[in-house]
Amino acid sequence: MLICHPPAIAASEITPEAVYLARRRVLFGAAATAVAAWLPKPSWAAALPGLLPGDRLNTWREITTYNNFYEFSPDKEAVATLAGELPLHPWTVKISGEVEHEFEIGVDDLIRRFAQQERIFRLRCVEGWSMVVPWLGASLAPLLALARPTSRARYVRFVALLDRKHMIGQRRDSLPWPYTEALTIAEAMHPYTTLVTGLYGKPLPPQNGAPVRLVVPWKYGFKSIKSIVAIDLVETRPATTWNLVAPDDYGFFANVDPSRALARGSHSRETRIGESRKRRTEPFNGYGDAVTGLYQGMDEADRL
Amino acid sequence: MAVLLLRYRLDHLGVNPIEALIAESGQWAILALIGSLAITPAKHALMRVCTRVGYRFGRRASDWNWLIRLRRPLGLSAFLWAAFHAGAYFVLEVEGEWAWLLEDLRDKRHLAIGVATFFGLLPLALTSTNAAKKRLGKRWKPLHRLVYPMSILAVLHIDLQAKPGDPLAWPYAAAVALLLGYRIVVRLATGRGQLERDGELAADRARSPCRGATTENATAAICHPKKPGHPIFKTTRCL
Repeated sequence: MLICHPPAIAASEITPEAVYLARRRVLFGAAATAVAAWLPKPSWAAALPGLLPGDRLNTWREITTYNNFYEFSPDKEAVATLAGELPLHPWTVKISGEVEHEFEIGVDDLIRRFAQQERIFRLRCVEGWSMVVPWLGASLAPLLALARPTSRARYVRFVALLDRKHMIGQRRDSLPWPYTEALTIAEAMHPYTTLVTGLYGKPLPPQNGAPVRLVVPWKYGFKSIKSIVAIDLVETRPATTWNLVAPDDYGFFANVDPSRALARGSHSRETRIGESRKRRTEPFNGYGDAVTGLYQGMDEADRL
Repeated sequence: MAVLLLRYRLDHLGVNPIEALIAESGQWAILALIGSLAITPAKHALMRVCTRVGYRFGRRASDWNWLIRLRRPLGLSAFLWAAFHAGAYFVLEVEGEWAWLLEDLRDKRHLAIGVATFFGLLPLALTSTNAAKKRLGKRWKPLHRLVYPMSILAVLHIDLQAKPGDPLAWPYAAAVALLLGYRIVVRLATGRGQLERDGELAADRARSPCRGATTENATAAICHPKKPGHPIFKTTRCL
């Protein structure tokens, strides 16, 4: 269990959830606007998209009882129970590879060093469902900067925990373990690319990828690797888990793209959890304005 | 089905009720299909058990007519669940939009196979009445053997829609393989036509013991040397 969260988290933990959920209404009240006009806006507030128009936050229950986490089970609704026993403490993340300064950082240190902010992002799964999640985390970029990547660092590879004792799904070879994901260095440095340690102002529950996971909101959910133990900067494109298993459905880039067919879940429409009508899937999951720059000049065929 | 619909209405189907409704109705369909395929082997097995233990009831095929009578409702309910499953998909997943349906049919092999399975089961459901059976006469049985390939397609449909590494379809595949495999084995062991006479197997075997017997232990049980010619093995034609 995390014991060193910054005070902001503790405050929300003691705030009744209903009040917490209504904080926007409070913020937009007359008093708040007056204060907001007077205070300088924090720099990240402008950079982050927040809640997109037409979206509503998914509930704690929805987010924490419907999890794709093959390390425990392919059954999304069984993961929450199975993940409960995962020991989260101590937990360190090792940053190595093409960097001037290799280091290991404990999760508590990470949380202290990089101010954790609430970041609301959509999560769109290849299976054809999506959620809107108020994560708690910080951009990955400053952590990578701390390691001072060399000029040879072109990709960032993430490795999740391998623990057959507690992650019982790993006892079967359903996927090549440990789960591995990767981004280009440009994608990894994008401000939306977030290392997440919390949810709804609370520590991240194990089924959501505790204690530290990645969130890349414009890509399909499988890119957002959970329970990270190592971050490797490498020169050539690394093999990634789902891409190895089914390359046609799980491309390396895997940007949310309603025009590209998937063999299983739908690509052009999605079930927003909590809604009974389908939504049309948006290119880059609705974050196109902020991220298309990453892919300019790239060949269509290379963008899978 | 009403219970499932009610659970959907009352939001008792978990976090993604659309997915749950479609998945659960599909599961009932395959289970009913497997159940209907299991009737004949179950009858054979029960007859053997009754013969083995020397229990009076159950040695004659006609003792199990009530079991055979379950086959039609099971087969029909498999079709009705499949129809519910397809309907739920059409209403909730593609929301009646033909463009989405066509797109899915084009992109997803499992969907095309599912649709094929449904339309393969449709004529079986339509010709399940006594009247249709009479009208079709000799053609009824070959037509209804369509259920064998359809059960394979159904399993294929389940496996293709599951993500890689998800063992969801395996138990169904094992059950269908076992039940179809049993039929093949019996057919090979007894020669053509035996199974068509609807499981008079034990009785036939007992009357002419060990004819063409392979050494399968299954046949060994009914080729017991003490038994041949015993009056309890009198054959009764069953449904």
